[in-house]
Amino acid sequence: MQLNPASFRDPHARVYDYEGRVLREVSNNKKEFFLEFLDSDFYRQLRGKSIVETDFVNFRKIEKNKTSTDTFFLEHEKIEFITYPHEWCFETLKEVAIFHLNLQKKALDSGFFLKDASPYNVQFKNGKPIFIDLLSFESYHEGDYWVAYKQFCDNFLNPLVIRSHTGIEHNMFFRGSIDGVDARLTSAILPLKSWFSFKIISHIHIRAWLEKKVDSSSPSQSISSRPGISKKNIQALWESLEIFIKKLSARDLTYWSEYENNNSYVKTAVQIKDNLVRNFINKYKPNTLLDLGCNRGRFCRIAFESGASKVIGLDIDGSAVDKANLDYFLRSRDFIALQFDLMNPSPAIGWQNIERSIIWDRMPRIDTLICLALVHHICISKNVPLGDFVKFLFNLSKTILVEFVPKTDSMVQGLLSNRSDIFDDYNEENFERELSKHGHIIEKRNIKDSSRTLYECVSSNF
Amino acid sequence: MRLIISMTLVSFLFITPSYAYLDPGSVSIAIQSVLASIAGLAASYKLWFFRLKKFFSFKKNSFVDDKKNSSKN
Repeated sequence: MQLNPASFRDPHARVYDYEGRVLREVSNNKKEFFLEFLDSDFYRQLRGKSIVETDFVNFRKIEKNKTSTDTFFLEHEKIEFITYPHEWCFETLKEVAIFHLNLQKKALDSGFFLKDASPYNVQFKNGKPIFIDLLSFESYHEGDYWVAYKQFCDNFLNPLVIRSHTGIEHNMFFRGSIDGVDARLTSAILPLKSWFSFKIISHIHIRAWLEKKVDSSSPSQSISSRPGISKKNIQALWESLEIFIKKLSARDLTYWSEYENNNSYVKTAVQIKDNLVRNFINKYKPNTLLDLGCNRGRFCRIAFESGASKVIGLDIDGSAVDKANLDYFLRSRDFIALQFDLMNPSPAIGWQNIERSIIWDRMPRIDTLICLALVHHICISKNVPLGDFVKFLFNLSKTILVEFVPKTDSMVQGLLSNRSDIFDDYNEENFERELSKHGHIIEKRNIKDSSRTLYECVSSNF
Repeated sequence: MRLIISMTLVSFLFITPSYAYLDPGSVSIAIQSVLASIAGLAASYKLWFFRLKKFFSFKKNSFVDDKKNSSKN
């Protein structure tokens, strides 16, 4: 029974991983609330759809003499792939923000209140957001303040407004700060035109200005001694935030988000490549497929059409990932695309550097990997030795489809145009030698009307 | 409505260092109280405006309908 390292903030509960099951040990003083909550119409309607499936479990029958009698156990359904806001693109963070507001509205209508607004509490199941932290729910009492207002602004509103008004992506902020972006930093970053928006002035600039005046050493007035806030007004505040957030957009189009229209392939070569990928996936029918460098999700779509059950797409370009996540076909399947820099993957962050783990520890078992048109960006633009890159791929998955892009390709020539060619080992012969070191080449196919080659391989590391 | 918003903004400008006892959480509580009141008022305003508009459009429509019916007869 292993304690989840992120489960320490709430003294009333601890989350454990027990033989692949997710168990939550909760203080007995919360039992009455959970009996009521799990039996409520609100929970029953959202169970398994917007809130994780949860049941009481008699854990002591499984593991006697290990736990205190002052507690009880809940068992939650396991979310296969836990992702973090620094891996989400703009549209995903926006979707989670709106999901959070809607969940709060529904909860309040049923007499419940969310005491926090952490993006880490929302995950994705079958491509749809789902709330995982049931301990965040409390009973609502007339006049209660929205105590998570600052947390909501710091984790959702501020980063979305920054991106929308400046183009600066939220990912780096979340990597550096587990608590999001505070009002003072947001206010300092935003351009002058943001002072013409009433919502930005009121939710960000004025809050930043007041927070500067704070003297935390002095005692503050407790919430209980304040007059309170009406239910109608709090609902109106959420409504106005939702309308405002829905209007925010990332706007900018990057080179990579338009890559499908700007690449070096001729039309026939694209069709040939599509068919080769389709045949490969048809052959293995993977349960979980990883598309490294997924761009707008063209091959993720082909993967689903050819029999893949779940697809994870990773790409460095936020706008391309946004487009993949907004694709209607992909959205209605078990799909998620994450913004991901292979040269600097998600680090471990938070308390003792274990609260939020590295991406590879969270990734589900990958059956099949496709890595198309990526090798030159890693091995030429970023100087990673060809052998190291191949070894990395062969440690990720048993079956692999990888594309080699030679120096004669116009894209590689573009990469080499302003630098000296120090990559003597970068050629097809060496690439094949490296592939054979870590596994077997099942099939090699040259893409007609292109200088590129696709290799179907099986790794020896599994 | 604009008057309420303007008055609220102006009231923020006159906040003096006497607010210096606030911690960041208290700032959020104070601000959300004001913003929730404004949002609540705006929602009521929209609702009443919508009802008023509906009421007059109903009157207008019923007047047109009456006219149509009388011309048919």
